[in-house]
Amino acid sequence: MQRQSVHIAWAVLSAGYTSCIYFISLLLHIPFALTVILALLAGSVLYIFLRKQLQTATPALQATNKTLLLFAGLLILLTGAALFLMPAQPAWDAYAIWNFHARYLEQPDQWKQLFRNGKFSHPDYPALLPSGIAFVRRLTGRETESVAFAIAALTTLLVPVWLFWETSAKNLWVAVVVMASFALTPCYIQEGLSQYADTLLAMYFMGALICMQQYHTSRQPVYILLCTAMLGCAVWTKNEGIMLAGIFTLFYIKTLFRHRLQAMAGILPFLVVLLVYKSYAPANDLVQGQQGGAISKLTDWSRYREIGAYFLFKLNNGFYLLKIAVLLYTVHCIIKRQWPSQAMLMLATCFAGYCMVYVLTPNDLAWHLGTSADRLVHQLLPAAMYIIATDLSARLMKRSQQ
Amino acid sequence: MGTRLTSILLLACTGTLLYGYHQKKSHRDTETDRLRAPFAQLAALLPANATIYVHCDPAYLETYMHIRYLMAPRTLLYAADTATDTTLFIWPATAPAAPGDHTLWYYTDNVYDYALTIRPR
Repeated sequence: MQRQSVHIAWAVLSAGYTSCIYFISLLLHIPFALTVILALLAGSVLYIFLRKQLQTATPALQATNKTLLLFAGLLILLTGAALFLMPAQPAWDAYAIWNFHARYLEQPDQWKQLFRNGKFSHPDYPALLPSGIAFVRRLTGRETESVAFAIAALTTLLVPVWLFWETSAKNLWVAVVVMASFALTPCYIQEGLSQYADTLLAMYFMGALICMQQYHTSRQPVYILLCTAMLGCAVWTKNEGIMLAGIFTLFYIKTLFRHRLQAMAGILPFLVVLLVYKSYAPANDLVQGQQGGAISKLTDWSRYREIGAYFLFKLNNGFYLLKIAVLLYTVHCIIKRQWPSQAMLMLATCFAGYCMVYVLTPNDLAWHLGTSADRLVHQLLPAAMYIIATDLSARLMKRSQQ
Repeated sequence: MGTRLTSILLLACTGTLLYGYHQKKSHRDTETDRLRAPFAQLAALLPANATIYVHCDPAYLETYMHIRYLMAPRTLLYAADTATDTTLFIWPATAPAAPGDHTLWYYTDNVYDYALTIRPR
């Protein structure tokens, strides 16, 4: 793992732990000053642990001047594109869900009132982002919207930056193409700056894949702990994270079971906090809305056609670079007569899982697709780019060695 | 060097985006911005644990969402029939007012045309 990657992993996991600590502090009426100390302590312990473990795990790779220059140029390009494309206000669900929940979690005495807002507010959604916003809001005194935007901006930039450093260790030019493709995908930037939780979920899911990949390279169990902690953060970010973490666990069950202690240590704190949170929250509307009729929906082929056509439309209009990358990857696999990598098959299963949610949705299908399908593609985009870039870099490396 | 440069650049770029957002925000005229002042007044009159039942024409759902956001942590329950001390109505500006109604906010443009009325029970 690149030195920069280790620091990014530390930062994003610290954010996850801080969010958990803040929520627990609300629950146990812990004074805010003590909460800040506990969050700092958790970050420091994680830093010491990572530094100690990872220094022995992998050699720190030094970036060359050329790499740094290319990185700086690409980050400026990404920022420029974001400045041009950024919306002037939070998107609908930020007002209705994420920032709205944060406004309750900012109030140590009133936060439980959040769960009374059943209509259009989805109080069952996990609270990594709202707790994080509430924590920073109370720490800095800045208004909710500014804090939410700052978190959204940092996350939107962090995903391509992390991908760049992870990929540049294997192939610099693949890393450049990957980072540039994010700057050239307006949908990614707009979605990222809309103050939703999808970019955070995408980042943690990609982080879990990066850590698993690192484990396969180095065989150091510390990466299993980091991997499951990333999955824990994904689970604590959005309900979709539960499905993504479940599919991830199924695909890597052997590895995770071999290091079950590390795996449990990583994910358990987040699962406990999620369970406590869910014990206050009402049932999920999609689960609650299932009143029979599942079989007829499953056998209604027109629903599959509609879902397929909509995703194709989205890929053609918003995420065409992802479409090209996936197509090239598929063609390459066919020509070489190779199976896609395990990670790619896992990602395809996640996508199929999302499609099944649409097949079974109790809501109007067209409305449900129109309001959320692009976000689901957004959630899988960084992981897909990481897998394609890693596979491509590995094959280019193999060819140059031959 | 690489880690330090990455951190500095990331923070600088995030700061730039935040500055850009504030510039855009200062020039915007969204519904939340228009509603902020009257609802700050209303919020100041109500305790933080207050519950308000909102009778809202579905056409004004977005307005309801913005008001709910601005009034948090007070609870604004949607389209409830339960009688409480105060009810907030979001309805067309042309709707007849009942005796005792207090119009808190009236807005009309090419798209929206509504009144927000408090009716004491």
